Amino acid sequence: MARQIAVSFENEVIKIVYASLRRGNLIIKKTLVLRDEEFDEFLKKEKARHFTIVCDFKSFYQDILLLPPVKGRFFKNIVEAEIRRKAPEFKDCSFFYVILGERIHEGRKMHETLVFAVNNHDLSRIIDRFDKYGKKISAIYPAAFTIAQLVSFSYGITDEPILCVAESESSKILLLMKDGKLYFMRAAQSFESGLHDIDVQSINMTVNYCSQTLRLTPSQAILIGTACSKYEMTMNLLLPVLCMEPPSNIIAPRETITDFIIPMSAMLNIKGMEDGNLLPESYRSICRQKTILAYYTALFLILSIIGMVYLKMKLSETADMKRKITSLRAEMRGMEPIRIGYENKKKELDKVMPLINFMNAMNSSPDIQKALVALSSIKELHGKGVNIGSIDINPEGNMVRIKLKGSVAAANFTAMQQAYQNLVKAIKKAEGMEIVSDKIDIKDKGFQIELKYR
Amino acid sequence: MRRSLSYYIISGMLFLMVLAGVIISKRYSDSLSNTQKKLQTARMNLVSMKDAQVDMEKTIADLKAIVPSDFASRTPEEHIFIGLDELKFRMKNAEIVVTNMEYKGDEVSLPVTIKSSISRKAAGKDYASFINDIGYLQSMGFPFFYIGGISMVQSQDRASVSYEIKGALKTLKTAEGRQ
Repeated sequence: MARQIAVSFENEVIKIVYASLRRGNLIIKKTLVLRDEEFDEFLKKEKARHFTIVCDFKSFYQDILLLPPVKGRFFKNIVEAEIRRKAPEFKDCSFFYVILGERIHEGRKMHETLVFAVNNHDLSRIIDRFDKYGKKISAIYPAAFTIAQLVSFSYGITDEPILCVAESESSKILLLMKDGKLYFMRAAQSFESGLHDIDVQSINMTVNYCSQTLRLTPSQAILIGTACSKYEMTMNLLLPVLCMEPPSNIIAPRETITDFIIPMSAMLNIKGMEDGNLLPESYRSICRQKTILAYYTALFLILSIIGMVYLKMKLSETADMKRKITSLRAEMRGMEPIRIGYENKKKELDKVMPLINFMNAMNSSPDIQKALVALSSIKELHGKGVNIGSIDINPEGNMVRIKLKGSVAAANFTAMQQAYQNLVKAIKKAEGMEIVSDKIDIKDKGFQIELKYR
Repeated sequence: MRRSLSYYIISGMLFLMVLAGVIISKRYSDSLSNTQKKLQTARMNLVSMKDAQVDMEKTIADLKAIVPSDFASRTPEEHIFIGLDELKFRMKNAEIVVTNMEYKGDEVSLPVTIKSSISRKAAGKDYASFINDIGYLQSMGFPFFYIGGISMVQSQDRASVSYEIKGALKTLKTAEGRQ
């Protein structure tokens, strides 16, 4: 539920409405009517920071221009340039435009566009007044624009031109609308509430102007708010009159709605309302920067709080670790004799280390005695058919290398081969023996076998 | 705008200070954690040191039991010659040839060549005696006998087998010897 405050500047009187928008209904909480000199005091006391402004501008520029159909930002630039060209006194202005339709002009398709501009100087006077008390303006709408939006929303969109009459303090706001779009607006002096002869004269003059200049003749006049409260006139109106029913989604007494219809119209959140916002670009930029700064400030504060919580946790963790380190150091001081004893023993051991290494080296030699026993256990070496000529035994690392040379005494080659194969098989079977190479010479029946014993 | 900017700057400075504090405390905490881990490792090492001390004591005691009591009181040359005499006494029938002493670092060695033969007639008995002699050489300590190689050759008439053992008697320089 968004709480809103709308302020309507209506000549010397300022109307204020407090409301909240809930499910599309505008619930009016409070209304105030202040004189201009009381307004500063109000701003000083008011705690709310955001305001929507509606102003019945006395000085403005309006025109219907024929502009080439270009897109987006370029069109806005063309409108701005056209305003400067046609109204040099509105050099520094804020404006809005409404594309009314297309028209062929000198053989080219053009956009028929209503342009409404207000001098930034006039807007600054309002903005500065709020800024002085640290208040932020969400939007500034011209009263005619919000009324036009309200009529489109409440009365509906009609293709017949209609003339709307709303009442601002001591003036009547007259608008010409067609297809829900604003074509023309004017403020006419009026001294009393309701419709009187002077107002009939203004309305008739406006109807004639619209018919002659804009070539649009309104079919009826719609009276809005207090304009409908009285009907005292002797002159005849050129067109039929009807009173617009207040929108059903405004929840407030009928009289309040009638009196405060202009500020309320700015609060209805009607689609397209933002198009009529006349807040100067410089002010919007400052607001954006302020918002960014506020977000960063909030982010820094949140991160700082998180950091502080982390710091607090780390501090307790650090204190805990410090306690543990102190206790460990004390414990280790008590174990100092162990370290001293170890170092003394280490020195003692270092002295005898060469002796230990020497003994280890000596004892790591392979066991030649075992190799000889293994050789003697091979029966085939002592058999009648085999004659061993020489045996060479050499230690090599952790094994023994054995070279056997001899000959086979056999009657024929088959017997020789048989005896030799039996010998090789027997050696292979012997535990720890591994044949590296073996060969037998057929001519002299001599053989050579190289073994490894582990 | 000025007020917003002031709040922004103040909050930014506060954030920077807190961030600096966080970084410092994190580093300090890491350093303390590291110290704590190192101290815990050192404490565990002290316990291991106690066990290692017992092992070292046992090793030294074992070594004292193995090394002859006169090891430190004699020179390495004396030890080698005592060993050589014992060898000659044990292998009376063998021809034992020695060359000059060799010194390599703390090691002192005397190259030895043992030559003899085994009769084929009493082959089993002689071969067993030969194997026992090899076992004896391998079991020698202070000085140790290092067997470099054994060569056995059968005679032409196949009546005997001559053998040659090449090796060295080795010992270490004692503390006295080093002086």
